[in-house]
Amino acid sequence: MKDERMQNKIISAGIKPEDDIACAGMEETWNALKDAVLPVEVPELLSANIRNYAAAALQKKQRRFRLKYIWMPAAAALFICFGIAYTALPGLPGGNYATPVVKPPEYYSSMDTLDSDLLALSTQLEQASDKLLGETVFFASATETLQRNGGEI
Amino acid sequence: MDENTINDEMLIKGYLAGNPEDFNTLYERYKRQLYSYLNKMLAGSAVSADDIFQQTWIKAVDNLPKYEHKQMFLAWLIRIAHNIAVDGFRRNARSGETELSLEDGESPREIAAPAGEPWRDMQREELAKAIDEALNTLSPELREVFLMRRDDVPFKEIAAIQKCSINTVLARMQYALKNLRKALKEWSDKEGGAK
Repeated sequence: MKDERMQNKIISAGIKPEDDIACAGMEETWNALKDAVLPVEVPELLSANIRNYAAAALQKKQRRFRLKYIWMPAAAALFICFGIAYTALPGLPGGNYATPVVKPPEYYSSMDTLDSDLLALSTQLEQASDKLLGETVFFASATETLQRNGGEI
Repeated sequence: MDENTINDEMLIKGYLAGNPEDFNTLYERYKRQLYSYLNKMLAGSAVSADDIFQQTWIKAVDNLPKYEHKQMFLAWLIRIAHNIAVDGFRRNARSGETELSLEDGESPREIAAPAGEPWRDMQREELAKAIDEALNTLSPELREVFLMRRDDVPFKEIAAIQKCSINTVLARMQYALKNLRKALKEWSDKEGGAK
């Protein structure tokens, strides 16, 4: 309320908002009071804390910058080079996978022989198991007949 | 833009580019003004001026990359300090402590009739002491306007910090000066009578 009354007084006096001091009397008061202030010393411990914080914040920012734009790309490049060298160079253990291995013809013919032998063996096993099954059925029926007729095994 | 403002911008850019000495220069330039402002504003308050001072600079350092040089650096610092102090007062009010800026039932004094010029006969130290005591009698808003104007913060920026119109700020300045004048007259009469 008081502010509004004062506002009206100021506006009606034609004083613009850009004016520094509203009237000459106040200007003198202002000039007298403004400079009559003794300087206040900031405690040195407080200043030291603030300066240290600013320096630490700057170091942290620089460390983050170096990590993001220097160390990590360098580490990535190193790993990529290592990977390429490991697979591409024949002298290294991983290099063997890259070079095609050429085998002699005897190797392939011996593989074919092995296949044939395996096939024959599996056929024999099948025949043997069928024979075993037949004999098992025969013995089972013979046993049943003897039991029915009251005989002992 | 005056030379000091240009230098502030260069100092901030220098600090952000990696030179901590630029921050130290900036700090030395404004530390007394901010500290003095806080001590006067928070005199007798439950919130510590040292804490607010430290938090203000910490927040300023953290937000320096976002500072846009549209206003005075000191005005920006005072705005940060103001917001931190308000948060502090609210926290204290919630926890039961209250601000001690005015005693209960006391209101800002009425506008005084133009008094004499009591400061003419005072020594500088006496006047500074008298102003300190007189400032404590003002309401927080009036005190804040006076202290910021003393540090050459423009009225427009004071209005932005206090979130009111520029006419309100001008009116508060008027009130503050008149009440200070009256308080100084009374102080001077009292000291003169005591002597």
